[in-house]
Amino acid sequence: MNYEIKLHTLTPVHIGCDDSYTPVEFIIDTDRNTLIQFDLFEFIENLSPEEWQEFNSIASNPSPIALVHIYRFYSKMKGKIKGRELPIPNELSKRYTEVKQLKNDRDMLKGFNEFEIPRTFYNPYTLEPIVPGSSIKGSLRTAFVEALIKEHDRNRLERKEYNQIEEELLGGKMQKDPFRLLKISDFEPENSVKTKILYQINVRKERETSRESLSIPIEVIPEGALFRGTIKIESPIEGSGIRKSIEFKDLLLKSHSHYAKIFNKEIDLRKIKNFKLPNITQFRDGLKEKYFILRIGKHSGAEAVTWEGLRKIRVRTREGIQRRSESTTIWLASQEKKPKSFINAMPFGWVMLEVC
Amino acid sequence: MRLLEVKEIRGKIILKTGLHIGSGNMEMQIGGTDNPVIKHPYTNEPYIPGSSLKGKIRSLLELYYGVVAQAVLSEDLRKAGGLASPKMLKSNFDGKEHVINILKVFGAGAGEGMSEELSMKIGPTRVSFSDCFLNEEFIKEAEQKRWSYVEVKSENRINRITGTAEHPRFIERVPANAKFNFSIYFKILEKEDNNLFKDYLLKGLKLLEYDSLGSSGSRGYGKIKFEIEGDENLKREFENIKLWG
Repeated sequence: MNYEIKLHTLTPVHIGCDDSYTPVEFIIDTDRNTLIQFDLFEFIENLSPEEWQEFNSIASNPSPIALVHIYRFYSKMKGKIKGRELPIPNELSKRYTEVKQLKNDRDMLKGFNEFEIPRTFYNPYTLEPIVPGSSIKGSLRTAFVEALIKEHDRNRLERKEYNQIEEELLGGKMQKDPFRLLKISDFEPENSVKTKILYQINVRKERETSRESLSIPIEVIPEGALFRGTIKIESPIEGSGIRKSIEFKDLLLKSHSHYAKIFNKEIDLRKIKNFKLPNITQFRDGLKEKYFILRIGKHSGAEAVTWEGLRKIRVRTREGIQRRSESTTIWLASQEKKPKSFINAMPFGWVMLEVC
Repeated sequence: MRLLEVKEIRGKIILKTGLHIGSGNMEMQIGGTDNPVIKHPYTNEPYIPGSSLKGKIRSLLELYYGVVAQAVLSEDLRKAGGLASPKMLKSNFDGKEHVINILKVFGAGAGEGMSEELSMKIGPTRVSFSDCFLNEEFIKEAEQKRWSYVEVKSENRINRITGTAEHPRFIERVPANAKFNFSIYFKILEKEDNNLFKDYLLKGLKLLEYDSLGSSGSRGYGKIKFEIEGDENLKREFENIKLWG
């Protein structure tokens, strides 16, 4: 069966793709808090001979100061630069202005590294974000296997490797793995989806402060975006060796149960840390019927990508690295680098699947 | 049996999601991906081999018409992987005509137990798929906009106990929205072949739209759409095909 699915982002989502906005291919309009990504070749083509000469001489300078000069040159050319616009936090604009004034080589390199902004997975032709089927499938698989673990003797499983557990509970690996029959397409934006840049901040669950050293800008798909794709489940053919079958509704329910529990824990945590969680009342009537909650992408949190009861999360403590059943920090997407309160910061990766 | 007509279906294949048809790793390039897509040796542009289209469409039809379900019932045929073959026709079952029709449209390999009598009945393979190269207008647009014909998708596997990423891999794909030309020829050797054209070729193309081409279809790759050109009636007929119900 083939199902049409909509995916609503409830909080900012980042799907890593090993690509980033590099400082030479964008300019920041500090008046509008906007990053403008432009085509370097197009930019060069539109330079006058004098401008080209200036640009060329800056580019020939091997010292890091050339980066500062390039930024100043870009700023001068602002009127000529056209491209894709992304909203950015006010602090990043300020930082950009500061970087343009730097004089010390070390500060410059450090400053420019801050402007190496990780991109979320995108289509290189349309430059629009994509939610890959592989992200959704991986998340569903985690939840499905967790539900199977709960039907088994957990103590016996505890001594096994994760792939052995999967193999045992799913009834085989590779060609015998029932997830072969689950086909999830990449999800494309329903209408145009505009990404934006936010800070990723790491917040300790217990203590008051965020870990300031870890606030790095990152591109996200904002909350409220809509994507569309398909999920297809085939029936196992007799003799294929696939013993376990996957039923669509059952898969989504198992998944919902895994992620709803984590969502509810975040509701509890919000009482202490006071961050922002999405309002899901619009989905409430159809929950577990039409709507199923899911978490995808970077900073989903260690709980979302591991099995309850068996998880051994690597936690850095004063006593050294420990393995625990719960993570000690949560990542939030924030407009501010070091917010005094987290009231406008949201956890990453929450989405709602809608069966059409 | 004589050649009455050669029907042509042509148009564009539009990628709805990234496509990976692997080429194997013939040459190791520094900085190259581990999993390149197949490319034309002269132009270095990716293409869709006719064999990939043909093979996938045939296997989807074999599933659709219950040939695979029939084949797995016998130990001998199971080993052949559910492929419609002359060997299958030796046993008795309902739906033998589908096997014969699939053999007529897609052909049978030598040494698959084809008797002279059966060979006469089936006749030459009706369908012929061409390799699909990038569409000229798309190439023009891509050159103008300096688009690359491939993207690299990085993936990993999450250890569900520790929550850490393992087995990083980098897979080359032709990005969604790329356009290829396709052309398929179909020989009409007897009147009834007109029905085969509709029920085995057009339906096969439609089945492929609901499935995926190339590898990793189960995790998002290879969703495509056929856009038939040059024959409005055929285009309408294809759009109105109902596979189920």
